[in-house]
Amino acid sequence: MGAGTLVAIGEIGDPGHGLTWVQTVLIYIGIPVAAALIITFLVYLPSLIRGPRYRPGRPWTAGSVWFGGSTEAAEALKSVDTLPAATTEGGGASARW
Amino acid sequence: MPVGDAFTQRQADQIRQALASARAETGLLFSVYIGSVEGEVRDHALQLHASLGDDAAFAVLTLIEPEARRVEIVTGNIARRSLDDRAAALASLSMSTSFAGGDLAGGILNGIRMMTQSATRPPVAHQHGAE
Repeated sequence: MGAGTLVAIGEIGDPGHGLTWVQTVLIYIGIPVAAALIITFLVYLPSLIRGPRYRPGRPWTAGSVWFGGSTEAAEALKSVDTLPAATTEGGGASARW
Repeated sequence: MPVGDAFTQRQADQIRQALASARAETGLLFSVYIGSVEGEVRDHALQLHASLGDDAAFAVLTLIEPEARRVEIVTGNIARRSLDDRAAALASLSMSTSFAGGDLAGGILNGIRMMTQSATRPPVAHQHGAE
């Protein structure tokens, strides 16, 4: 009867051999590092999907793009010597932010 | 197709679509340039507008300089008749407000929409020689 109680609280039986150092490192360092990496990835995932975001005041590194115009704006500009009447007699507006 | 690094493919498609429908609705040649500019921003916008050649008269060019934080709208001499300077100023103001909040694509889309609405003439109630 006494032996059965001891079994229930786990005080007898073969304790087995200890962890090797490889197992120790994997469990106590490998798992936390892996968890940290996964959390970091999940945190940055939304901005990775959304792509780069414009922030006012930061240098512009994204290059240039002309929607609805020629693909080579620099080439197109070379062909302009003087502004034609179509441009000078036109209008427009400016704004800053 | 090169889009630059500033926009996702989806945003670029939306801008192209907005430009295409603006053209279809107004008959004006809308285009949007985003990028760094050397020298005076307005001068660069005028030259870019002039480089459109024969289309320049009907063209509405919006130049966005994110580093200098400037928006320039250039309208050709014929485009100006339907999109006057007041309407252009209103659109540029709306765009710059969005850009100040960091929303490039949203500001561009909104600006194109505003200019399209301004340039789309209301139905003419009275025409000479109609009777």
